[in-house]
Amino acid sequence: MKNIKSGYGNANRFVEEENWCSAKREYGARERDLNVLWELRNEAVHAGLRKPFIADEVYRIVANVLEGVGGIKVSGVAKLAKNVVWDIAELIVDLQSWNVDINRIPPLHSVLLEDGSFLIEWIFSKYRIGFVLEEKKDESIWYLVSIIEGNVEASGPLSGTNYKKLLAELVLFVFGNS
Amino acid sequence: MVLIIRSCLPSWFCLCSVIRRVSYPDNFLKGVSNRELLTPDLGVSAGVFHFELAKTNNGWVEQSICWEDDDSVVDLMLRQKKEGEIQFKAAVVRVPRSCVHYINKLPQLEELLSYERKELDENPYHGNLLLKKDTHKWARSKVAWMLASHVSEVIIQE
Repeated sequence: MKNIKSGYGNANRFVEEENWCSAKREYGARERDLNVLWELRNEAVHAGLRKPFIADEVYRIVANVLEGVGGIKVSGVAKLAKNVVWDIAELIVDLQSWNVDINRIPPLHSVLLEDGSFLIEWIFSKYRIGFVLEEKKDESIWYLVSIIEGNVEASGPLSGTNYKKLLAELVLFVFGNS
Repeated sequence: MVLIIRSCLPSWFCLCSVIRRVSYPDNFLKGVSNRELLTPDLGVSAGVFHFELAKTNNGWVEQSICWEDDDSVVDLMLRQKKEGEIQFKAAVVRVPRSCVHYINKLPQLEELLSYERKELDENPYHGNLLLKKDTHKWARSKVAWMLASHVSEVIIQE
């Protein structure tokens, strides 16, 4: 299970709330349910605990996709979308612990296409990263299109042993170019 | 001399007519009917350029666009109605025609994409992006990403 770490580097200051949240966090990780992050955020705000809470920023980035997942009728696509967005969220949390500023990162965007595939995109002014998710993971694809210094285009299947590495490289590309 | 010019005039007009039919402006416009296809900061989803297989004609999948022949086209599109309602409720986006030629040179996408004019009674600027019917689903997606990436301007529906 990944720990949700403090974005301020002073862990002791937040020990109490970290303890308070840990049980729920474990549940969220086990169930791979990002809505739990949002619940944590709301409870933290309600209880007058530290704000901004890491969940704020992560949730801001993934909220549109979570909303979109709710409209997917095909369970395989919904499950895959949830997994991809959870994996991205985990990477963002990891990067937050490296003191990377994620405030400038735009939210992920999603849309359900008429052929039943689900499109998740990270859209920037000069480049975009996307995932076209199908019922079967091996028919799903990722892409990177950049118009920085000449057009760059890369894409490939989402399945494969390097999936996690690929995702990390895409998220690092976002953080390195934002 | 006068006779020669007179005899040439009909063919000259005919030639002009042909040139007019096959000439295209630098940009085409695509209507966006759904606000969910735009991000809050006006990023354009590739879903705007998704080719629907149901719209197939003569071996090509069609996607409606308008050619920006003059300044009036944007207004015409923003006011365009379908079944009594404004059709493009979200926006109109401008795309340089040159990107079609760029896409056609990319590996795996060679010469899959084309365009045409297809005037309608109510819209003389109407045309289509054309994608070869048997294009693989992945290549279809790639074309949509590339088109969305080359949008040069988003004109929001007020």
